[in-house]
Amino acid sequence: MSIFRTAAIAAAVLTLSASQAFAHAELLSSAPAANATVAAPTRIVLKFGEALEGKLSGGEITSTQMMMAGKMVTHVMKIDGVKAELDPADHKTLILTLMAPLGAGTYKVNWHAVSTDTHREQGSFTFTVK
Amino acid sequence: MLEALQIAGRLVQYALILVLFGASAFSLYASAAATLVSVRRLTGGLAIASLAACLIGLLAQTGAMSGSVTDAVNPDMLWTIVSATHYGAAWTVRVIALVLAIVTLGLTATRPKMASWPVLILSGGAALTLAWGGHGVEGEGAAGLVHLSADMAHIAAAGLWVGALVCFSLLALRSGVDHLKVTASALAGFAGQGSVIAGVLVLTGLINTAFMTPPSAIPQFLGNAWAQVLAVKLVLFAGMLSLAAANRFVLTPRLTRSLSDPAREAEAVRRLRLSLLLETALAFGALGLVAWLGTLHPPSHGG
Repeated sequence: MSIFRTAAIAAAVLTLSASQAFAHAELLSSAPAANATVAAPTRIVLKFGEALEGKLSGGEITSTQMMMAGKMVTHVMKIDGVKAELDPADHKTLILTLMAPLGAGTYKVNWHAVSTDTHREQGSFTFTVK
Repeated sequence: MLEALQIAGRLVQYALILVLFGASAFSLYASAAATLVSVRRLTGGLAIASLAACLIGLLAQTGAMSGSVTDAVNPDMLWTIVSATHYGAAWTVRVIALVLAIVTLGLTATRPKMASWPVLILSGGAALTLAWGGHGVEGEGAAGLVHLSADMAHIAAAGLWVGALVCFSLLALRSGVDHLKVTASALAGFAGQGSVIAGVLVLTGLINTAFMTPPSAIPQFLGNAWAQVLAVKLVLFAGMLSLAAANRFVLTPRLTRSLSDPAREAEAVRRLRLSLLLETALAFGALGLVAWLGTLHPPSHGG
């Protein structure tokens, strides 16, 4: 049974040395963070648990409320000109660049991400611009 | 629906390409037996079917990765998947290897022996690219390389086993005493390789599992679909090991002894056939579960 003992030892060693990258394309954090209130951002940074396929990952930003005449009013509008790119130095990070800073209001980000092992994930979160 | 298509596409590619690889190897280590059941013709058919499966598999994969059925037949999206993703790079290598294997088989029709090694290497290359479609590409650096290597060794060993099973089943299904002698000696000859293959599968299976899920996540296994499917696969694997052991230690010796006694021969052949066909069915069942596993999520966090 020495093969099984060798296997058990190898598995234990490998488990200790391989602590990273177990997850699928799971959103670990974002800036702005979910439900945060921030000053007018020009980009949204999404950090995932593993490397992504840049051509197949991206996101849409939609306003849900906007400040108009000093009051928050419901105003659903897709933000145009959002460019999605992977961070060249870190393929686990997806950056959504905006054409102009977002105005005061609340926004929803609908993201989708395909990991290099072909899994597609999607999700959404909202944040507020003061 | 997209996920079901993706799993079906993966299963068909796994099954065809692994049997192609295993049968190519069979024609080298059991050439007398391989000639009897025309393994060369089998590999030719499998190579063409594998190529077709790759093309259909790409459509299913494109649909699943882009998240839309219509994108599965959108040329721009197909080109994006082929040219700009890791999956596409592996797919391209697989298709080239299969085309070269088909060309090699076609060019060596009059000198079949010349094709053996090139077709084994090309079909082996095509089989190894299947590791890119699963969880084997997730890791990074040296650890990622170990995971990918273990995944590839797992695929190669699985291919040798399932390809041998298909060839032995074809052999056992033919009757005739000459044939039985060849079958019995080929089966006896496979005993050592079979044990090594089983050992490699156990070892690399453990390594792969350790890479995909941390020990702290083991308490979550009960409620996790990936772990449940893996458990069923292990049950099938245990069944295959038991049948392989029965073949090696009981049925093959019994067949060898019965060759001089026609009365016992029929019974020995009947049992061997049943055992081989059952083991082959379990092997394809396990491949189906592997195709499914690749689309599920291992538990990633403890507690």
